[in-house]
Amino acid sequence: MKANADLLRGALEPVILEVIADGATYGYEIAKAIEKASEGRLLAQEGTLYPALHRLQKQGLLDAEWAVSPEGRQRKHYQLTPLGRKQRQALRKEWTEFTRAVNLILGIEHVQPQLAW
Amino acid sequence: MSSPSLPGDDASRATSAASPGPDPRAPDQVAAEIQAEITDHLATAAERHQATGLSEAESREKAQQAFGDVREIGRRCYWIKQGDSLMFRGAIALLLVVLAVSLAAVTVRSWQAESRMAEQIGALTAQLKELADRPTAPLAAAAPSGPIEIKGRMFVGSPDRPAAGVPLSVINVSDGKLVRKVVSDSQGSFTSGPLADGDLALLAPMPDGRLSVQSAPILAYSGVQAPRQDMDLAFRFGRLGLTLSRPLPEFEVEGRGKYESRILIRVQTPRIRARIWTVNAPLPPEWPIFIDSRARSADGQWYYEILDNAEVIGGLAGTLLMGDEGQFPSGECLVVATVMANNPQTGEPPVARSQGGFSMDFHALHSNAGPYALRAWSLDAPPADYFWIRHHIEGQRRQEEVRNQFEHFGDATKVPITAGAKTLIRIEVPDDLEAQVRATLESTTPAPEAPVSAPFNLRAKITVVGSEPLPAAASD
Repeated sequence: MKANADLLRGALEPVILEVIADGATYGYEIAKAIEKASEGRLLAQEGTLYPALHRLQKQGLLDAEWAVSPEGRQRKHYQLTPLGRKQRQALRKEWTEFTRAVNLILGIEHVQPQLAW
Repeated sequence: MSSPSLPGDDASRATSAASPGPDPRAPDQVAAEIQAEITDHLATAAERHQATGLSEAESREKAQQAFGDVREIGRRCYWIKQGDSLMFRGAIALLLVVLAVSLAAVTVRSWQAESRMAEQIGALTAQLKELADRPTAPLAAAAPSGPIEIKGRMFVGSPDRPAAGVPLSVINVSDGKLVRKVVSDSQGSFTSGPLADGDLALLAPMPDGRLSVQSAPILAYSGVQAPRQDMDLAFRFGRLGLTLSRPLPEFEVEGRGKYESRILIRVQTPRIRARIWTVNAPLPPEWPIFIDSRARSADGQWYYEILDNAEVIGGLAGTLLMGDEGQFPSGECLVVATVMANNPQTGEPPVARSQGGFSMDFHALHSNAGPYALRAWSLDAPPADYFWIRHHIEGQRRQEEVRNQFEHFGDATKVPITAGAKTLIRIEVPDDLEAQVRATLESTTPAPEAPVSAPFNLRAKITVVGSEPLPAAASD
């Protein structure tokens, strides 16, 4: 089942930062990494990835370099900037808290009273 | 299809524009890069399909289907890269028309073509080139010649009170570096002198020397007249007032003694910042912003109060965060409140009011001498809510941790601040606080280490209930 487009919009950018941190560097590879990790549920169309990549680059979260691919084509490779690495951590935390809150409302997760540290 | 002109043509590797903000490169270069990136994706995908035994045509078709609408994706990428600059040049309307016409034309042509993928990539190229070329033509005639210059005037409170002899810094918000420093004349007027292209902002000290004011970004580029900058150096602020839905409860729990409660309030104003804004930081909700070198937070300074009943109802007259720390610029601030119920240990000194923002100046609410012999319970809030207690127990070493934990406060209430007025908020002290404390103690309390002081924390709802004007000379 493909993800709802509205849900996807919020999830795509943290997902991209994750797969790039895990080693995927260029568009096709990133798309395939997302497809594999999500068992084909996240990216309805591979092209959706590119506006998100460019937005992340514009925000300074990704850096990019051009190199020649083994097939002899120009290929754009992305990597996380220091700001991107920081944002990745922040988004992970934000996502965890968000999903926890939604799960609580949906009754998916039961939370025991929290004890001290 | 001709090969795109890319930065990497002359070398095996080259860095693409990666800094935040509008892409500084020529529009046709940006368009060529987008085209090359999409072409590489489609070609790579097609090659993978061919390797599974599909024909060349089938492979291309399948790659195209998986990718989606090439023209639309290319157009969106282009706008992400160039949209800011184009919008600034006032060409939005023209571009939309051109784009719509181009898309229509390309769509018709593409339906007639034999190879759909090749056609679409070709159309994308033409489209992006057209988009890149159009905006500059109508602007060229009106564009001023010569270098960029920023002119304007500074005043304090009203235009008839010029800010004379005030040093003004022109900074580049791409990297935060100083570009130029000038001083206003006797009428408060200033002229930057010739400047190189860039995303700039103005920075000037305010009269009391505590704050500086940073203007909104000025996109200063050749061919575009920078708008005149008039800056008011007066700090216009409002304040926050507090009422409680009911007094903070004091109650007995059988076998546990007497519980008291306090309220912890955190207020964050996004317009006061520790550092000048650059494109690396999130955009503030409003301009100008105010820079306070004593502040610690780059995305909005926060302050807190820890109050008991007497302070809320009595001595404060309902005003939170007195002094400079209670002066909030107009706009929204974020407020979070937690009610803490605790069983203070016998012999503890009385609670004193705590307030601050620049240092963690907690007073002795829990003064157990033992090494962190303290247990805290969060009834509904994240652990961050009770870290202040750890701070007190563990001393100054915990200062940074405490501050960072406060910064993770979520779901804050947005409270509007109006210059010259006090916004009144009401804290809903949860009706079931006592019941929750009792229930938790009865059901889950383990045998505690002694001595134990066990505060319970419960998030309190905040509502804005009105505002009232500040006295004319209200500075404190």
